[in-house]
Amino acid sequence: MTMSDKGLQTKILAAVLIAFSALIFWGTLNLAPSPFEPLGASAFPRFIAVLVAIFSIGLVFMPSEREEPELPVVADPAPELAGPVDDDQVGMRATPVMALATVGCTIVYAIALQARIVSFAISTAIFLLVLMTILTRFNPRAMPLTLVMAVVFGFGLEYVFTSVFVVNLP
Amino acid sequence: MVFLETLGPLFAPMPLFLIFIGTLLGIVVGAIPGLTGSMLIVLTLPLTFTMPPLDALVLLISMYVGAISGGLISATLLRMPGTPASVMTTLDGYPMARSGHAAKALGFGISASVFGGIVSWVVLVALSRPLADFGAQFGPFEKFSLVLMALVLIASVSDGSIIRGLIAGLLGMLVTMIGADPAVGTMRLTFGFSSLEAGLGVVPVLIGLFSVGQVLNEVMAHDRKPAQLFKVHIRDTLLSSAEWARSLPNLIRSSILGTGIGILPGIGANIASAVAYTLARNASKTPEKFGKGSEEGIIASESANNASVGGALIPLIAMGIPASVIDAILLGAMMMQSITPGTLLFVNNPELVAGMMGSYLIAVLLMFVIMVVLSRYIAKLGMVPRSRLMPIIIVFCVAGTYANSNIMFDVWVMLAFGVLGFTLEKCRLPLAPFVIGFILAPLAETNLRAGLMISGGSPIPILSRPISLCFVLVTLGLLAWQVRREFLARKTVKGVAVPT
Repeated sequence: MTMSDKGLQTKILAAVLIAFSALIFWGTLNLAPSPFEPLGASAFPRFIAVLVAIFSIGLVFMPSEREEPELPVVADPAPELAGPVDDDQVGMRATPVMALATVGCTIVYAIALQARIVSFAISTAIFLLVLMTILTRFNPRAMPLTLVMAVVFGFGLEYVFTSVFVVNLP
Repeated sequence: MVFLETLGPLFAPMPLFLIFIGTLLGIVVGAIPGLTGSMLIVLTLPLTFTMPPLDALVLLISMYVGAISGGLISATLLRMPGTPASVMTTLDGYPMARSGHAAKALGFGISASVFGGIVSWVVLVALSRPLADFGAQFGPFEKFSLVLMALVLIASVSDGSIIRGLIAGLLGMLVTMIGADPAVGTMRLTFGFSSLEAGLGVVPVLIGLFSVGQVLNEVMAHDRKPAQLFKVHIRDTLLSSAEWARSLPNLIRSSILGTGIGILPGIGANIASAVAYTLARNASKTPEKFGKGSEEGIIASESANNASVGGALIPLIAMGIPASVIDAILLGAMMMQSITPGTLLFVNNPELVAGMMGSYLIAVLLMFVIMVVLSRYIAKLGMVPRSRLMPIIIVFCVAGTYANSNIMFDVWVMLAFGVLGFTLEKCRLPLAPFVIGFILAPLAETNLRAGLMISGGSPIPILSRPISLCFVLVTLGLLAWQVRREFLARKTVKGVAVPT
């Protein structure tokens, strides 16, 4: 990432934060003052929203935010200490697509649970099967284990939650 | 005598069982890179609602102890620090293991962990009550200033610049203001959505930030082939009396340092470990061995990071001020069990306070046994690929969040905060101040508004009351010091070639 990229990112972040502060401030405008105490329900969120906006402007003008040289971004606390990257059988690609896929699968999973289309066990088994398959990059050699894990954990977790921990499931 | 009293409430099968389970799970999670103690504890929160308060807290504290300790195993045997707190251990633990002394490297780490834990337990028992009594003198303005100080301290030591830490903390405060306001119950910031009237629950927000957010980070990372797994014989992990004797000054220094750093809000095990390591190297007669398998390095890192756990429990139990993210989660757990930390807790629920302190000691001792006996097996769990682990964690997140409230809305909140946590980290806005702000904002607002009602609307007592003034001065001093440090760092960097 170049420094200009970083500066642009900071400006975008600041703009989003200022917009969010404005939304919060706007959300407190219709709150009536309290007859019992001096501040009322709106003062604290307004004050904090204003502070967020001020700091966001400060973010753009702070020298460290504008000029600091970019250091290498690392995923692990000490990656140089870890072993070589495992890119074979069950390795995952370092790509935002995996994060997007995880979020997408989880949203579909939650919708299925909310709609009660099938039981928790079946929904979970299907979710695990799909997500594990994606994260193992559709590797056919990883499929048998994926299938077994999906079934075992799908039905096993339902049993553990309902019979051992005795909690309600969607 | 007071030390023994802490163990009294725990001599029953259930608390002892929960301490064992909690410590074991903590160690396992701590030993698996990518899984964190925060993740384990927030996922356990929903399961603790139906438990008696003592059992719930005993379980969570044991997990805390285990999670900080477990990172040592994978750091030493696999060259992969299971937790950030064990990064410094890796520097010497793995080289020592590679040189054929894996069991000894683990032995130094485990023994130092136990020593640090016991030292901080002594300080915990000795200091908590006096500190709670001191805290009892605080009025609303003091409590407000204390929260302010904690927030600024956490923001100033978080990753990145202080301004980003402050923004994160303030965002956390804003999030908790959705729903009924804590003073008079006026609905605010719901934007017409009735689902938001109850506010955003602690459990979905914390599970989202620390579990889903972490999963998204992990699926973005490569799986790594662990290095060679060394064989470990149990008897070799036990230190001889000569080894204990020569390590004693380092153990005492690092444990006291770790406890002291743990007490300060926001600093935590990672920094305690790094500072103790640096001090040990400076004090060593053989500093050249550091980074190449020095037992002193392992001892300093592990005794300090474990001692910081006991230190961090002191302000939590005595005043309800969390010193780290995990402590903030524990505070959330206490709030959900309707437990208010402070001097009244010592008066009204002495068995609960004693149980919390005692469980910490028992967990530390159990941790020693479990790690000596099971390290070589637990290390193998560190080889489980993320691609298998992360989807299962998502299922736990969904089920745990739903079990907490039995409404799907919370699951959506959890997912939203997972994405938010992930995004905040990508924007270099640290999560620690966000969570501390989220947990402490109601306390700050309630006390400020109560104080203003007492003073007839005048904020002057914030500066005219001595203790409150001290907190305000410390807060301003911290801010000034941090801003100056960033400007000085900027000047230094200007003299260095900037990589393109």
